[in-house]
Amino acid sequence: MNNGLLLFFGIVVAMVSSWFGFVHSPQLQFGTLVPEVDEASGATFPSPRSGAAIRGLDIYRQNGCASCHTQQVRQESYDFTVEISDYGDNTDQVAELLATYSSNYEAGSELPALPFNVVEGVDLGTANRIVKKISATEAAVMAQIVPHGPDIERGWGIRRTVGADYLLDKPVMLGNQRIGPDLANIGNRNPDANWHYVHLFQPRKAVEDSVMPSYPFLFDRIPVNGKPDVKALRLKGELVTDAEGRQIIPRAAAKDLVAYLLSLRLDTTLFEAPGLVVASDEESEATDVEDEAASQ
Amino acid sequence: MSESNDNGNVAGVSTPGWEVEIPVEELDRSCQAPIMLMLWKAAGWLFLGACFALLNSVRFHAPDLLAHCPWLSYGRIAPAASVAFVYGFALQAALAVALWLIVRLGKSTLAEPGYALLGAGFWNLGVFIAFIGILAGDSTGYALFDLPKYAVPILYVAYLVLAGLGLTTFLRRQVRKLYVSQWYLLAALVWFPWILATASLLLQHFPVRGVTQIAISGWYATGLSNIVLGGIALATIFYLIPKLLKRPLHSEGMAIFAFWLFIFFGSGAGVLSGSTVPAWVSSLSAVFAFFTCLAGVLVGLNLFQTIGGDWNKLLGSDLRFVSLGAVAFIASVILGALNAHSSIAEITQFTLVLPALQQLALGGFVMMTLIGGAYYLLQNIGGSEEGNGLVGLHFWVALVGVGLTVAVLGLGGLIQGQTMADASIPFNAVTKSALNFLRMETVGSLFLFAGSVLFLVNVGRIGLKTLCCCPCGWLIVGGDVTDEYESEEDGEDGEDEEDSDSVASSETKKAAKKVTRKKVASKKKAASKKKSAKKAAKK
Repeated sequence: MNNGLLLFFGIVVAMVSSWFGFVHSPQLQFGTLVPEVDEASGATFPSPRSGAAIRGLDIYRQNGCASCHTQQVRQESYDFTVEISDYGDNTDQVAELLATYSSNYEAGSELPALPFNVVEGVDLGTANRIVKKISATEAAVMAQIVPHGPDIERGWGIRRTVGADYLLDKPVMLGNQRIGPDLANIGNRNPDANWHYVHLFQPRKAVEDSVMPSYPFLFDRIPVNGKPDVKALRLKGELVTDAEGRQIIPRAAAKDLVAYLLSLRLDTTLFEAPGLVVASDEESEATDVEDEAASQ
Repeated sequence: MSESNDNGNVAGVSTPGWEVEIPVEELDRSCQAPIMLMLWKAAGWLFLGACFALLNSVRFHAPDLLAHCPWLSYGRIAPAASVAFVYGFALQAALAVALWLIVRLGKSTLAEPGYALLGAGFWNLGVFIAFIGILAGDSTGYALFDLPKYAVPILYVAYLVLAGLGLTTFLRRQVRKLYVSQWYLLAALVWFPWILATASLLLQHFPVRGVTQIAISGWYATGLSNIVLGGIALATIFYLIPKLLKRPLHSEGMAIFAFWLFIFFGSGAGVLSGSTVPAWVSSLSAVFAFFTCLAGVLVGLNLFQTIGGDWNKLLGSDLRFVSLGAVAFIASVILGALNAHSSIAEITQFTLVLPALQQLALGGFVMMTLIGGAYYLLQNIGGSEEGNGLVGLHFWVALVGVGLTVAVLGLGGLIQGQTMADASIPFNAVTKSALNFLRMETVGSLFLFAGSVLFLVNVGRIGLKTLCCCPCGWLIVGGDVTDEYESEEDGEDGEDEEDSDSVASSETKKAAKKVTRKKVASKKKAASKKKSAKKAAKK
């Protein structure tokens, strides 16, 4: 290798191919994604954030919250639940089938309250077979994908996170460290704004052995003259004070940050994220496609 | 074997118009001022970064430390320390070492050293602005690409100046045959502007939507640590190990194969950001990591054969940093490939294993190798004394620091990953399991901090010595006014310089050297006369 020009050319080829692989292709796949509009309800996903929450994302970025918190939920496996939402007219037939397939239903007893889970934790084939049999009775039945994994079992979201979840984030801060818990679903897990204020002001007041740094600069501390301010922080009804007995009032930055945290919710299912419905065998092909998508 | 041996000295001599080689002293002197400035600044940034890393590590013992100051909050210190380490220290020291290697290997004096000084100044200005910007709350939120929008153009221009001078010097080389180190240097020099421009444009100026940002920032981070920093560090390893062992590189063919593997696959080997990026990105990245690992193993085998049993020499004062860097490189690519495998990534993802691997690559491989290269080149261009006790101390302190942080974080990460995978364990307990290790890591950070102090002291001492000995050398670079410096060198490193020039020697080279040696000797005489005259004048 003594030809400098050839060497340079080779390096350029490497640069360009790596650029196409890791910059251009993801952009082709994801760059065209747009927020999805649900035709029935008119709601968009991801739902737009309020102004305060958008400013809050900036506070989150400035203070490097992503150094210790991720916003991505993983899924390890999935299985299926068969759910009946309407028994239809042929209740006798349905009861017979339920007795065959469901361990939650005793033969001869009253049909259980709706919606009823016929089986849980079965594979796709079993679920499809049961759905086919029951739907033949004209009962409304469907198989539902149920994702599993420690993240999901910890309540960090009902499904894994996918690209569509971050369409409105600028910048996207997925984080790669879980020194603190995942925050993808924090708005749903703990919707109490006051708890978040106290936790930000002094984490150890809210969680006993927390290692999170405190952020007192997001709050004003004002001496109590007579009656405490209505906006002052309270925990379980008691006024939260600093070491000098002053009351704590959130500044705008704290309000924005908490608004952002509360906007983080992972409680809606998406087409590409499991949770979708299989109504009958006509759609079981669609399930197979989904199946592949899910196994990735 | 013999081909890689002569390293183009024959070509160098036979090139028309270059009958006489430029003496090594003159080559070194041409780049002395900018390189010493850059190394001095790099040592300063390393110290600052280590201070901040230590501060953040202490926070795991006292979470409320300095809580009232937003500028010093954990989440701002972390990226600021990373910028100080990566851009202030690593990339700057890498550029300094790269310029020196280009000068030495091509046997041509550094083009426009004055502009190099200017470029180095701009680079430090850019890093300083980025550093302050992050503390003020302007971090980007992307790991390793933590440069505020307004700092990027300054860094970009500074890099173009420095890399441009490097490339100009490279094109002017008198030795036309290219050595392994030069391949890596060329790749590193052209790679960085490409990834920085892409990242800055697509993340800051015309931001792409959604998780494409993650793919791009991951690609940037991998390219920076593998190709740019890793490439220059590998160039240093390939230069110093054969040279100081006085053995030719075992196989050039193997080196060529490893180089192309590394260049083609190294830039995509770590883009592993969890379930949210498309699965094919992670899979592709795992494949790339495997091939990068293969390149690393080939590099390791090549070096192993080159060393050929001379193990005791590796622990010698010149080589120990670099040999440790080589070991860390091979370990880091192998562990990186393992970690890219999905069954292992499932456990290690989001845990302390990630910073442990990063520390192994950037602290163990890049930092150690660059420090080794810096000490060696300072010894040549700055004239430090042999067997400097503080350099030895620095080695052991840095070794313990890197070893301890990697081991503690890695082990802690594995345990953290195991507990995190079990949903029946409450998350508080998961954090606690990691916390003990994070607290132990403070000892490692303390050692790294001590190491950075020693590096600062060592570089400073050599710098001061050079500054006192030849003030002219700092002002008028590359001119013949710096003769005085040469006379100072005379007694100490004169012997050393004879064979320090290239990886091996050939007959023709020796013949050429005889000519140059005579010239140098006559120059030295003149210089010592000048010096004694000056001394008399001072009295």
